[in-house]
Amino acid sequence: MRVDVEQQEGMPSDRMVLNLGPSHPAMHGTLRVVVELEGEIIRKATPEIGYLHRGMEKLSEHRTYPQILPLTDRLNYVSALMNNIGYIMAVEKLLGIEVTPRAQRLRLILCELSRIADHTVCVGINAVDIGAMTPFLYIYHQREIIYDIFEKLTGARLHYTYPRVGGMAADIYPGFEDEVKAFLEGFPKPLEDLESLLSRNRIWVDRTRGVGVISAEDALDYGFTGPCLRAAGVPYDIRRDRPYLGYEDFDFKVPVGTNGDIYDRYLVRIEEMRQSMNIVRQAIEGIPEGPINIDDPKLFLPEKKLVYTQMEELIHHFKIIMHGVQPPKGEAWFSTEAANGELGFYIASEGGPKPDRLHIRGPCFAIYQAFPKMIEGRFIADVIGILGSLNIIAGELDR
Amino acid sequence: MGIETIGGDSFVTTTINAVANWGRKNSLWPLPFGTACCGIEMMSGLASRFDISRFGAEVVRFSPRQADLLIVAGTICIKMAPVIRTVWEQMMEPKWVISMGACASSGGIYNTYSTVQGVDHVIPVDIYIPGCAPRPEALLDALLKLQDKIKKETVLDRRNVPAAERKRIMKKGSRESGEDYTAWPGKSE
Amino acid sequence: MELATIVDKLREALPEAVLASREGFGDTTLTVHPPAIREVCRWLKENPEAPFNLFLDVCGQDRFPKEPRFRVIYHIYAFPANLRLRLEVEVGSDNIEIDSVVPVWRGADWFEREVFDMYGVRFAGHPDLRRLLSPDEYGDHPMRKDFPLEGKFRIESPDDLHPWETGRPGGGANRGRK
Repeated sequence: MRVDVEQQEGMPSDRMVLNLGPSHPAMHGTLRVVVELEGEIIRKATPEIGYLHRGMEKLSEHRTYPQILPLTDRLNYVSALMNNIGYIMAVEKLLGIEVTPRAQRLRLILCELSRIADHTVCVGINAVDIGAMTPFLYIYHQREIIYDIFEKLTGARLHYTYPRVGGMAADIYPGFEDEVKAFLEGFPKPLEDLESLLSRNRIWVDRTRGVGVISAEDALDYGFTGPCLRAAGVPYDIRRDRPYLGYEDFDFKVPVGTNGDIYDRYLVRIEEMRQSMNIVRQAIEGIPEGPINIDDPKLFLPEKKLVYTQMEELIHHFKIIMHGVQPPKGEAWFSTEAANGELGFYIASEGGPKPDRLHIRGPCFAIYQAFPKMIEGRFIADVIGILGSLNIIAGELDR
Repeated sequence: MGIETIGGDSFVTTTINAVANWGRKNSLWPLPFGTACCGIEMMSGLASRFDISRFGAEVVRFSPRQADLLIVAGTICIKMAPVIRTVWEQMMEPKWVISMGACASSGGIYNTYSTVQGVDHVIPVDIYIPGCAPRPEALLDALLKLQDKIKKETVLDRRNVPAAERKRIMKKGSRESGEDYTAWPGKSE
Repeated sequence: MELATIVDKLREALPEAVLASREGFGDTTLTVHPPAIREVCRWLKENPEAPFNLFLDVCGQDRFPKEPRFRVIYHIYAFPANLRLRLEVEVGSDNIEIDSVVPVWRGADWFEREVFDMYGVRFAGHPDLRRLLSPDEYGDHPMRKDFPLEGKFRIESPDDLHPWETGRPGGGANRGRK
């Protein structure tokens, strides 16, 4: 975006235009806000996005359904497994298949662990931006433990590409349950440490309470979802309102804030981590036995040893690799409760192995457009804290 | 108990290269230009477990004037290309560039209208890290490799950098697109 | 409150506006007469039984070479009634303009800008219809089916960082290079 010169000349001389980003320590990568200042007060803010627009939606029109899966990893790269699972479930909805109970349960556990990993980063970085380095170093170590579990399970640290249409790429490894349980044992202590460092910290409270306020009506109007909407007092959680993956079988609470400020968002995220731990604790007990993948040779790759020995399986293998899965003509919307809010996938299929249109509704996109409303009239120093509390991830913002 | 008690009131002989390179390689101040996913792994590299400060590169500077190592971590899109060029031009000599991850090195999986197919089209790169996303160990390894590279430099290498750089980019341009970059504005010898 | 009752009431209130409705994959889709889209949205948001107050999404679709070429698809949600509805509007390539729904939901702002950027669909009454993801001077609408995936210009040297502005043809010379 270019700043309009005429507009600058016509402006009162005591206003200053300041460019925050796209290369700025606290702008979380590739965000840019052009702010007009009167002293230290922001009078007008214009966010500018697109600095990480990688053409993901266009690219997916040229890829088969399984080939799109790696692209979804790179949407919200802080909790990549949730995007994977959301996308795969959208495709499964279009194909009309139901995965096995074991795969469902595994997906649920992975989703909740990802949520914890995402919230740790969000809260930690928010504190770093405001000036508290210690909580980040405490809590980031816990994220590394989740990384270790995921890495053992999927083979990658950041981009997993682990689910498949109709199941998962591999079953869990022996000892997975014990490691998750060990994490659940160990996590409450650092979480308490984090809270004790922040929740009653005078500086943190002064910098966050009453800052970046958005009311419940405004939040709904702007299309807020996830922790930011719940912090404003609207108890909308897709896991409870439109359950998927069997969330209805588990006992959890939806934390809700009252003021819709940074502090409430922080508290909601902390409580969501507790609730996620709660869900995982219930889900890890008695993961259903049985196969992890559906038994449909038209949709799921047969076992490798059968491919090598049997003609029919070889043909199925070839068909899936070459043509992918072919959903019927139609359109489907599937949304999951990702760490930042409602992550929706809209797929319009004309038949055939490639989608005619794949649209990704990233939760950040709707949230970030209300950013000027939150910062206008506030001090420039508050911009950073507010931005951190919204947890804007450029990958899912710009796609 | 240090070097002074062994040597006493003495002197040390060395070369300018050895001293300068020793100082340069052990105190690289990085500017983390994390645009996408690799930025998260770079963050892991800075955080508690991998701890880049073991190699003297933990003083993260977001001002290009204060940094001497640019870590480009993530996809560079067409909107971002002028920005990264400006950031690089603002950095003081001596400066080095690490291109972290497949996207920064070659565009990665994004062969699309909005992605620059490798940051080396825009700025010269010293070390490329493969992987999508590379592990933090890979970043640390790249740092060590860069330190090795710095160790072998002579201070004279940096005396006439714009010309050397121009040659490098000219060579690259002529190889790939057959175009003439001799009329490169703003860079006279 | 059932979604079907709301749809029936909508059809009663605005008989000309809803052209068709269909069910599929768990969602109801209403095809809306293009000039009536804002009216329909306002009715849906302000109906007392189940106000569709949470704006979810707008996206476009190009069905080149079919006519009408473009579709604009809206997803909206009613909280706390827990209803989700999809609206679609078909726009031909001769006059690519429909009414903006930003006066109804402010959340539609950036979504409509993205559709404008990617497909060139203009939204009448949008407060600030500029490009969102592409650079301001970018001449094309990249998500259209007749636009190549690799684009028309590539940044390949530091002296040409805005190839779509200078129009230098060499930018795309290496297209297809692997």
